[in-house]
Amino acid sequence: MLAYTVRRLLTAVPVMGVVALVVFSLLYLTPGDPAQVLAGDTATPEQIAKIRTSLGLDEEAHLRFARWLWHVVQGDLGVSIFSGEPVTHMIGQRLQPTFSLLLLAVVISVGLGVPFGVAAAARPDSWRDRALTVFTTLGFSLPAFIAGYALAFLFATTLKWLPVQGFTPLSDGPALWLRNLILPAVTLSLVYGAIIARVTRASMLDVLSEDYIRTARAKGVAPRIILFRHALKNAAVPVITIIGIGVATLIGSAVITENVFAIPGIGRLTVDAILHRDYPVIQGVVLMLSAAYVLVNVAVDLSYTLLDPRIRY
Amino acid sequence: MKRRTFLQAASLATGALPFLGGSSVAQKKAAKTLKIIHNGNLASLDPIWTTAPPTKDYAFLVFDQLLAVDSNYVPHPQMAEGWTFEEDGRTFVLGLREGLKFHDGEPVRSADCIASIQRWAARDGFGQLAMRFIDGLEAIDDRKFRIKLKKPFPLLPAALGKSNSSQCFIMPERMAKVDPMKQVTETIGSGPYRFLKEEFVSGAKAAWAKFDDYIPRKEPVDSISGGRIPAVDRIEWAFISDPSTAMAALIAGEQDYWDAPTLDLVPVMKADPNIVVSPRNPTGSYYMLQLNHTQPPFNNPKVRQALAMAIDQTQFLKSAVSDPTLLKACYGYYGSDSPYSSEDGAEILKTRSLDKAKAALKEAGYAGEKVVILGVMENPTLAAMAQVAEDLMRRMGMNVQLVAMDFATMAQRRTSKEPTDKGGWSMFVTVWTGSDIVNPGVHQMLRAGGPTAWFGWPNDPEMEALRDQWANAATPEEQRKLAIALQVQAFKTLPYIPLGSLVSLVAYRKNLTGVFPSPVAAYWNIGKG
Repeated sequence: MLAYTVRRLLTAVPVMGVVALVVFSLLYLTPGDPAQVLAGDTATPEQIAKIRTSLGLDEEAHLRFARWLWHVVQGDLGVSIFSGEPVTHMIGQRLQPTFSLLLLAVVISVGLGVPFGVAAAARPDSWRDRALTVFTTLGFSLPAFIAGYALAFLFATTLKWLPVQGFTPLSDGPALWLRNLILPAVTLSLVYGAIIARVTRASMLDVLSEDYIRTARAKGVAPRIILFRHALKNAAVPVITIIGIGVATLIGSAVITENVFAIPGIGRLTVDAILHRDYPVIQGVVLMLSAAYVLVNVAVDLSYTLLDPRIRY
Repeated sequence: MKRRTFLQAASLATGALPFLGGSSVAQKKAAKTLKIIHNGNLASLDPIWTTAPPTKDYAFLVFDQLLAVDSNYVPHPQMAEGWTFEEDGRTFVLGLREGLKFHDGEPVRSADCIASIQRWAARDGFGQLAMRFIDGLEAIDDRKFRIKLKKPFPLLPAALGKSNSSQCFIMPERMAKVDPMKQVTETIGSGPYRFLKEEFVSGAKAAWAKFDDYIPRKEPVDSISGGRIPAVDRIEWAFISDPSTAMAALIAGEQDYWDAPTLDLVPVMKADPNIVVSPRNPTGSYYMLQLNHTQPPFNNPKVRQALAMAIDQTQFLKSAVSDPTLLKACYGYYGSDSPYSSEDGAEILKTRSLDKAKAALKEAGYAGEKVVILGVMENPTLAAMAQVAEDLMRRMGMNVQLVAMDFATMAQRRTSKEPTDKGGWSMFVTVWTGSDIVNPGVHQMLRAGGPTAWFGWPNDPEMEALRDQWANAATPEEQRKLAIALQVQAFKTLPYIPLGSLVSLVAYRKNLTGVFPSPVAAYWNIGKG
C-alpha cells in the first residue's frame, strides 16, 4: 500500500505539470494586460512599456514559463504583480477562511446527508423517502447564490441571529468563528448534502437486497445494527467516492459562496486575480487547487481499503 | 442535581469566555472603529506607482499634501505654513508647518518634500506639465525649500494641491527616492491615520489607527483643504464585492459606511430610518463616448459630428438610473463645478435629432464601415450606456458591433491602433470624476497631440496650442478665457462626446458625524456617535 501511495503521488507530478502548462498557456492567450490595468488611465504608452519591462511581461512566453516553473520547483510561486506580495503568503492568508468553510460544509453535508440517505433506504417509498426526494431535489435545484441570499435575508437581516458577512479567524474564538461560517456553510451544504443523501440511499438499497442482509434479518439482528453496522459499511465506497468528488466541487462552489458572504478566501482571491490579470496569483492558486484535488483523490482511493477488505493495492 | 448541573455549566462557560473570544472582542469594541465598505480592491500601497482609486483613498489617510484645493479648486496650505512667488514669479518658496512628523517619529523635512515632488512629477500628467517650467528644487533649511522656475507658472500651487489622481503626497525621502516605476514597500506617511500593515489582507481587509502626533490645521474642512481631523481611533475597510451583501451589512449595522452603493438599491436604503443616502461627491461622475480618431469611420470629423447630433444625454443617463434627481446633462468639456464650466461651443450636442444626424452622416460619406464598441460588462452603467450607443447608431443606419468584455481586456484592446477587423476598435464608454476634468492641466481626454494623446489619439494642434497658452496664462481671467476657447475648439474636433453626469452617492449609518462633501473618498473628520 505504501508503494501504491508513493506511485500515485509520483503520477500526480506530471499531471500537475500539464495543469501548469495549460494554465500558463491559457493566460498567455487571454487578452488583457496587467501593465495597462495598474498603470491607470493617465499613463503614457512609454510608462506602460516601462512597467511591462519591470514586470518581465515583455519576455518570450517560454522563457517566462521556464523561469516560473524553476521557481515553483523551489517552492516559490512568485510575487503578485499588483500588491508585490509573495503569492505563497497571499494564498496562506486565504487558506483559513476557505478551509474553515469547506470543513464545516463537509461536516454538515455528511452529518445530514448520510443519516437521511440511510433513513430513506430503510423504508423505500415511505413518506420519509418521498420527503427526502423532495428536499434533495430542492437542494440540487437551488443555485448557491439564491440560497445564500435567502438564508442571509432570513437569519441575518430579518431575525438578526447571525452576521450577514465576513469571517472571524479561529484565534478570535471558536464561537465567533462559527457564527460567521454557519450561513455560508449551510448554503454550500444544500447541494452537496443532497447529493450525498441520494447516493447513500441508492447504495444502501443495493446492499439491503443482498443475501447476507436477509440472513442477518432471519437471525433476528436488530434493524439498527443491520443498517449501520452491516449495510452502511458495505454501501460506503460509492458514498466516499462522492464525498471526495464533492470536496473538489465544493472548492468551485466556494467562489460564489465566498462572494455572497464576503469571506476573504481562495475563491475571492482567484476572482480578483483573474479580473486584474495578476498572472502569478492565478497560476499559484490553480496549481495549489489542482494539488488539493489530486491529494483528495489519493486519500479517497486509500480509504477504500479500510472499508472493503477485498480491495487491496 | 439540576442546580448542580447548572452551576457546573455556568462556571465552565465563564471559564471558557476568553477561549470563545470574549476578551479580544471587548478590546476591539473599546476603540471607536469606523467600518467602511470600500468599493475597490486595495492591492498596491503606492499612490504614485498606480492611479487605482482604492490606493488613492488609502493614501489620503496615510499621507499628507503640501497644499490642497478647496471646493472651488483654489489651493490652500495643508502641510505648508504658506508659500510665496518671488523674483517676478520665477521662484516659488514654501515653508512647512512646525511639528510635522512621519508615522515612524521622524520630522518632515524639506528633503522629503523635494524628493516626493520629483517622484510624483515623473508619473503625473499635471506634474509633468509643471516640470516643463521647473528649473530646479533646493532646500533652504529643514522647513523651507524653493522651486526655481524657467518662467512663471502660476498654476504650480494648483498642481501640488490637486484632488484628482495622482496627488502629490509627501513621503519620507528614502521612500520617495524609489524608482517611480517600482512600488514602495513601506507605508510611512505623515497623514492622520497610520496604516496597520500587519492586519492587511490584499483584497479583503485593511485597517488604520489614529496617528496621535498628527497636527490638523485649524481651518474648517472644505473639500480636501482645511483640518483633517482623525475623529475615530481606528478605521477598517471591508471589500464586499456583492452589492446586496454590502447593503445588508450596512442595514444590519455590521458596517458603518458604503462608499459606492449601487443605484438600484438606493430606494431600499432610503426606506431605512437608520441609513443616510447622500451625494457626498459634489462633482459627480462624468460619462464619455471615447472615439478612435485613427480608424474609419471616426477618423472622419463629419462622422463624429453626425454622431454628436444624435446623442441625447438623458437617454444614456436614464439607462443607468431611473431617478431624475440623480442625473444631469452636461454640455461642456469641464465638470459643472469647474471654474471653467460653460456651454460655449456645445450647440452641436444640443441638436438631439436623429433625422439631422442621419442626413449629416450621409453627407459625411459614411460607407458602412464597421463600428466596434468595446463594452465593459462588469460595470452595469458602462454596459448599459454601450448598449444605448449601439442602438442609437443602428437607428442612424450604421454598421455596429458591440463586443462584450471585462475591463482588463478592454484596457488592452483600446491600445490597438489597428483596423476593427484586425483587433482594433471604434469607441468605448468611459467615466471620470469631476475633479479629473476640472481644468486642461488634469483633463487627460482634452489632450489632442495625436500619438501622445489618450486612447483614441485625437490630433488637433490648435487644441494643444490653447492648452499651452492656458498653462502660461498669468491671471485667472486669462486662464478661464483660454480654457473656454479650448472647449469651443474641442466641440469642433470632438476628441470624445460628453454623455452627462450622474450623482455619486454614499450611504452611511445615522450615528456617523462629520461626513463632509468631498471629491475624493476622504475619511478624516468622520466620527461615530
